[in-house]
Amino acid sequence: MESLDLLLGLFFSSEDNIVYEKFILSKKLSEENIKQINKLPMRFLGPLFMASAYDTENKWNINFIESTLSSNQEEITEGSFIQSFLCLNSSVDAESGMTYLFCFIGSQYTEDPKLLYEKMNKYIHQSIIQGNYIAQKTYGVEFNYNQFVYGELGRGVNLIKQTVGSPRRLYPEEKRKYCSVGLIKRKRIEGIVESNLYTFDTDDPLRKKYLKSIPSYYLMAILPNYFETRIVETLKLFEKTDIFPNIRTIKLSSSNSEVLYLEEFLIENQIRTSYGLILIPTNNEVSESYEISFYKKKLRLILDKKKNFEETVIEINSRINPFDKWSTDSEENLRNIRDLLDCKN
Amino acid sequence: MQELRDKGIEVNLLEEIRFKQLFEIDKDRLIWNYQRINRMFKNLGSIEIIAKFLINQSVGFSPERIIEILKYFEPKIKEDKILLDFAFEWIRANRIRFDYKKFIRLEVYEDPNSAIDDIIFLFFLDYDRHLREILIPDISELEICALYEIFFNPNEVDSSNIEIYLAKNQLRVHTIFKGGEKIDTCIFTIREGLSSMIKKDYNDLHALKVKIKSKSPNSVKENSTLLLEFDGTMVERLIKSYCFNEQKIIERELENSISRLLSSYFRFGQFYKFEDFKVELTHNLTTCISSGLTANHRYNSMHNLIASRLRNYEKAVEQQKLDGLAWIKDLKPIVKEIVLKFVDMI
Repeated sequence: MESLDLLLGLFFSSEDNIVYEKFILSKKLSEENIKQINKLPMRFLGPLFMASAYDTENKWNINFIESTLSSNQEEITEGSFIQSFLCLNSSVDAESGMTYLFCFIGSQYTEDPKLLYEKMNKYIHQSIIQGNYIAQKTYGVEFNYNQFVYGELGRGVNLIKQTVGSPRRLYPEEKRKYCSVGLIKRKRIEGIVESNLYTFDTDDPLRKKYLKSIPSYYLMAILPNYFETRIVETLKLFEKTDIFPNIRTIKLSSSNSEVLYLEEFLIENQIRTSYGLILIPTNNEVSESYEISFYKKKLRLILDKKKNFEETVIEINSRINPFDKWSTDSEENLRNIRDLLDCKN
Repeated sequence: MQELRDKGIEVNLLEEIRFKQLFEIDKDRLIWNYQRINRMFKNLGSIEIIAKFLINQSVGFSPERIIEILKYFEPKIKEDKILLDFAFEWIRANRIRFDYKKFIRLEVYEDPNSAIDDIIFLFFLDYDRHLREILIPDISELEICALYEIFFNPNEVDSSNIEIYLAKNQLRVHTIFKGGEKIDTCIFTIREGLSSMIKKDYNDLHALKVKIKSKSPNSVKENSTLLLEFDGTMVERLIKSYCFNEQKIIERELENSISRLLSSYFRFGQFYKFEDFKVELTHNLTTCISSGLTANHRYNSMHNLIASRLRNYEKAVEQQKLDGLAWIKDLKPIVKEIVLKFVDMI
């Protein structure tokens, strides 16, 4: 049986929302799967369109989603070499609208998401934008935009393939301090996910204050589940059913803010429990701000049942209410979050 | 607003830290050096003094050419910057060129196009941002492209003067304006300026690797991945520091670096014939000596001189099959003599 050790899809959404895609299919897939794979770009790009539309003053960009892959012991069909899954997105405000360059990578290594993201954002995406100007100037009316974009996507795929497997580096910003504005608890039992958000009380002024630093409580609450489901779908289409994803990091940014979602998980008796924190970088004026390693340790302590959940949440941020949860499981509950937590007044 | 400003400053600081980590030059030492030259040649003009300073830093052009380039680019420097800042960037480029050459030798690329894109991102994109900080905003992209060729590929730059060069190449690089504002097309400028250099280096190395593989299939033995590279980094560094500091090379250090170069290839207990490694040794010696010395030395002529010296030695050992350790002992004085010969030529 053929082994598939790299999944790679790169797609570009132009200013007029036309999506161009390039996939690496190193395994022969069924016609139906290929048809579905071609629909993946729109599914992955969905929240990006939503994030940027949500706050028109402060456009949000989902930079990357990092996920580890665990073996599904019951469904091992072949030796699976893929152990991490990354979704990277670069958003550039071009002259007449937003453009997105999105990429998913299933790889056998623990990748360096920042290096890959920078290559996409500073080189591949810029090459498309700048190349467009140059080609228009050079070729005038004879310029073939489709051919040009697919050529650039080919360049991008080669550059990403070249980078996959690079060792992960420590960047100076990783020593930065963050403050937590919410915690998401997710529990998956036999494919059914139960998800709850813990955050500030609605009348707490911090809720309103930090709302300016995140796209919205609603978007933050749905992102982990949304992207985890997309990754599961992608793996299925590439016929990788013996592995499943566990979201580890989601990074979002706007021109003046940044949000990090950090998650830790535990599988016990076929129940997967995960705790994720919504973090925003702070300056030294905020008292309850810590480095990433502090938060990871706290999440592990809750998961390993070495510390009480409520006490730990208070240690992380004494203003987050660990007793009142906001369910994210139904449309009605999500609407509740939107109405009460995302209310700007 | 304050938050936004803080954030902007923080991002710039982080980028600056990263850039420094990658391409730092010792500005204090360079300023000291410049002041020393300034004191020595009080009767010369500022451009001539900077030209002398750059020659002292081995930038690889004749004094007349350097003066001509400095004169051309002086009006293109921002008001709050001086010609010495431009000289520092030229020296920084020299340092990047040195690191890039080492990198491309070790990295494996599927094709030259992948090498071009990856290397531009890793070595030149941040440098471009840095370089533009000292130049006026309306400088043409062609002028920046010319700077890339001058800084990074001096051996290949047209020997005619800069204005003739720009006139000849005016259709190669466009400067695009839209609504009175200059459009950022830096990636294309860097590609235009450096693609041919990266492609040539890639092709040379690729051809060499193929040649080594086809010439000596038996010598490489089963665990071939360990054996293919001579590591001349220490020799290169020794010559480079000799060129910069003008200090005599200490014999023991030279011998150590040559031992390191030879022992990186030869293995104790394995037997080699001279023909198994002569191509690789000649190439590596040429590359590390030429990277260490000023760029006035052409690769080909240096390669021929080294090959000819090794040929003389080859006649004596043609049929011998020696153990790695024996080769290290035998080759040490020969390589030492070759390195010293080129160092003495400076």
